[in-house]
Amino acid sequence: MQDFSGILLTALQLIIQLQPDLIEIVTLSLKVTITAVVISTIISIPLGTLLGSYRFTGRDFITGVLNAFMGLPPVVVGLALYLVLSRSGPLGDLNLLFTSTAMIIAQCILITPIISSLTQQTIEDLHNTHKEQFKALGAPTYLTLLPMVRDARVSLFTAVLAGFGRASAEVGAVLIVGGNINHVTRVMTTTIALETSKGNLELAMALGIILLAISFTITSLMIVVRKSQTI
Amino acid sequence: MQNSNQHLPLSVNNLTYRKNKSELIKDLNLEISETGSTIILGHNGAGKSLLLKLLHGVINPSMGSISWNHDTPNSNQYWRSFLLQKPTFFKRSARFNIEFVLEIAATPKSERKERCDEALKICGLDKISERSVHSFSGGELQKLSLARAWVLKPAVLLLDEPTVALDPPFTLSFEQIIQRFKKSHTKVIMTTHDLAQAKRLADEIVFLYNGKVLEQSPADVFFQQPKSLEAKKFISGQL
Repeated sequence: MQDFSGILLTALQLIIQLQPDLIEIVTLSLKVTITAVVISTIISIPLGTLLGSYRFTGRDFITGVLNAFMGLPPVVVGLALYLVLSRSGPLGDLNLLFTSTAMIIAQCILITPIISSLTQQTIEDLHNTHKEQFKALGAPTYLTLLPMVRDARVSLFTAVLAGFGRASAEVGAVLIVGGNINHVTRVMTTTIALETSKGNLELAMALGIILLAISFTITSLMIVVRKSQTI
Repeated sequence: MQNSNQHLPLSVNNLTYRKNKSELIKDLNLEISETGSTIILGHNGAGKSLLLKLLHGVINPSMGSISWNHDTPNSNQYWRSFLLQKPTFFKRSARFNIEFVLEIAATPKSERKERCDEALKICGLDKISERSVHSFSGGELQKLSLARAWVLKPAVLLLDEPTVALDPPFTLSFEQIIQRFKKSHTKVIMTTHDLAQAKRLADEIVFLYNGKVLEQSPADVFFQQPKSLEAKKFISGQL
């Protein structure tokens, strides 16, 4: 086995040389994750805003389900989705299994509860702050939604970034429904798992460094955005 | 401004408000006419703020009735404006916050800019109208709250201790704006702790004690010859 410094050096060389396989894997990973985050955001922000602003029958049930789904084990999601998308499953005719679309669906299932719940909490807190004022002004709730979302944009952006972080680090579900097929569904996390098991540590290390860099970038972005709100 | 004669007198009959099994407003009766301004005085916990919230329909009474010239209060009646003690705003410009009120009241879009400009000018906020309220001082926020009321041209203006956290210069300029409301025939009903302010602004005093109206009289009569022992103590600063 090579020593750590040797592996690290080779990994850095792979990154600096923009090795084509590496670039392909990173590009696919970002494509899958960004698509999942965009779709999830389109669903979660309105859903969380409605749950945070309105009281209606079934609201507590939906909130409970979302909160419970925040901690969903990814492999269970992967397995369930595998059964649904497999040839004999209810959506088998769509031929989505072992495609990047299946990976996007899996990531959406995992991050939608996270973004929705964080949005709901943010909007609910804001709504409680303004509740008496809205009543005094005679403001119908539907007119207050957009201004509240705008006021909460920094917190909501943080919620989206949290979803992005969760999606980009996902391995279990995407491995099951994507199949880790070379040049088709191989993403950073699944490649790291595969290459490590094969003993090809340089590529795994290079992808690990990129994944860590993405994670640090997201965290830094969260801090910068939060700071800009408090100034 | 809208005509307050249409919506007054205000009649409150046997009003009771309970919370957590305690009666905060007890069998309160009150009649307020359209003339002059009415200041509601009382010690902490007398029920002044609660009474205003009940009058505006922000909360509902446990028993009894409130009638604005035979109209039951609900906060969707835009002829009446209510300034909370601690108003809240969207983190947008002063102009946005005022225009939002016009949007609620379904004011035609063509009128909004002009009415907004007028309200901003009356309240001395025209030079900072595009600034985010995030950077406003407490006094500027209270003035913005007044501008938000002015823009609706209300027949009745309810104010809940609006100057409690303001320094003397801001209090003075705030009172000048309230005087403009009075001149525009808006009926002003306001709560305050400040006796000097009550003397400056009141035509009529309603004195509340433990959720009941103990006295209702013209301001000069109240301050010179209070009838109840509690009112005498309140005026002398012992209550």
